[in-house]
Amino acid sequence: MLKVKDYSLYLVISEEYALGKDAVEIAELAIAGGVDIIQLREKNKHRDKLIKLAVELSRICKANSVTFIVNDDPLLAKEADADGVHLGQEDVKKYSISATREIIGKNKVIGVSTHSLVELEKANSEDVDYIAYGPIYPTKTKDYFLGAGDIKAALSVAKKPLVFIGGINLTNLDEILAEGARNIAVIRGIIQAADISAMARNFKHRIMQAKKETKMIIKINGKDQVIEGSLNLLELVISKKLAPESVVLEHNLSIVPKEEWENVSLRENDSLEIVSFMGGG
Amino acid sequence: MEDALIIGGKVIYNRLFIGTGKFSSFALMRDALEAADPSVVTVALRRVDASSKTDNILDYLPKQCAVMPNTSGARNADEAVRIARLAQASGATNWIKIEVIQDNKYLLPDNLETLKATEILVKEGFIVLPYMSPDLSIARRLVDAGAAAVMPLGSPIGSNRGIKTKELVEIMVREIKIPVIVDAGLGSPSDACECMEMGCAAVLVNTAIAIARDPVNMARAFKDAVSAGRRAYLAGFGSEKNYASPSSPLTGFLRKEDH
Repeated sequence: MLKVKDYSLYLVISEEYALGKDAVEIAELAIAGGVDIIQLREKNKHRDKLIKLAVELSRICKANSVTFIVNDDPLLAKEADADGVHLGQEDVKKYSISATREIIGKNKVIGVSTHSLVELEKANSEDVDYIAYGPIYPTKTKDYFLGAGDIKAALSVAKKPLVFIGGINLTNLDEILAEGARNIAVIRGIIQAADISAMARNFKHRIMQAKKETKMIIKINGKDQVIEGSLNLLELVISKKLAPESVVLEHNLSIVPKEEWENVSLRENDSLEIVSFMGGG
Repeated sequence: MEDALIIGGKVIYNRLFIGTGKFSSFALMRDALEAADPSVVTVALRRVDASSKTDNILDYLPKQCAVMPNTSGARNADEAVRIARLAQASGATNWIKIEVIQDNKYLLPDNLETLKATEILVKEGFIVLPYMSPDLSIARRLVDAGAAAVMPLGSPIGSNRGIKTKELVEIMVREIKIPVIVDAGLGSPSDACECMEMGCAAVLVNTAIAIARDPVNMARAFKDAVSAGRRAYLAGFGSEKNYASPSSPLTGFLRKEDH
């Protein structure tokens, strides 16, 4: 069972950076602009107010088929019936990934922040559903940044959906899209915009454009093929007009169970075997 | 009397296993399978051809059948293991017929690679039925490796030449304690019947049925022959003699005098 379909535009809401705007209002405007995921990250709010806010955001997100994630706090996620929890590297100490999983259950999403290729590689083997990687650019929340230079390396290391975060705005967005980033998390770039909906729409449009323009060569059943658009395995099977229930996939020599197909994105030079049963003695 | 064969926990009443290759259509194959009502059918695993739209063969197999994919196309143990894992990932079955062949002229199997693949796949929980050249030593090693049955060939695949390996297979039937199933080369129902009379646990037939003028009736004929051969084997044969032994009483002849 798939938990999250789309990590394309991931908005982190934190009222401390919102220049006085209220989180619910931001969420509604951003949803109108096309965000796919909203994370509530409030470090300094009183618990009662936080629960009330999370419940309200959860309701709004559900009504709009937007994924709702809370930062740092699996108990809050459970209480607000959020879709998942995002854990920072430092937060992992408070609630371990396994404790978080136990609290929210296996059908919910866990994401984890990573700040280096080493941490990213380690996260591959953890029980998490996506990995955030950053900060790519200077940001107020961290006193260092990684730059766009390692994005390709990060994409080739990551075995889970990879979300890029940290100081991303409309000015530097094209640079990271050109490096291959396709899932973008934004905080101030959207919540501080004068017109939040328009800003979100702008981000989303450019990300989707980049996805559409993606062209890559992958080997399918021994033959090189040009694939247009960024596809996961399920999308590829459907694009080939194959019935998912009648084929088995081997991706770079490892068999991928059907329920994982949506979580595996195709990348340049991947090798894919698509096989099915036929008559034989 | 119940005379069921049990392999991999499945109770097998019909000792005719049928291969699904070479039928002119899935619909015809389905009709032949319905006529013979097999307990086990084999299928192959191949790369899909995205340009030609075909149905899912599994939809045409009788529901009660165990589906046994083969590893045809494998030239060594590693390739056989890879194919077996892909077949299992379909979710349809954990049976596997190991078939490792490098020889394109006679399609005779490589027993050593077959043994290696068997060892690996049994450990992974597969129900393993290796296709093999009839060889007692290898058969014993396959038993030790945990094979669910051994499947010696009667004659080369698709040759319709019958049970040319009879004496070697008979030795296996006598010495091997797991089911011995003759696979490949059986051309007529009488060939299948002969194997069953020899005490083989089952036979696997594909080409002879699939390319008959009327596959449905040929499937039925094989089914009857297998059942007749099995019944005869269980009934027990009398011994062979060099001279006649009259079937009718030697007294009461209508002659002048009775002595």
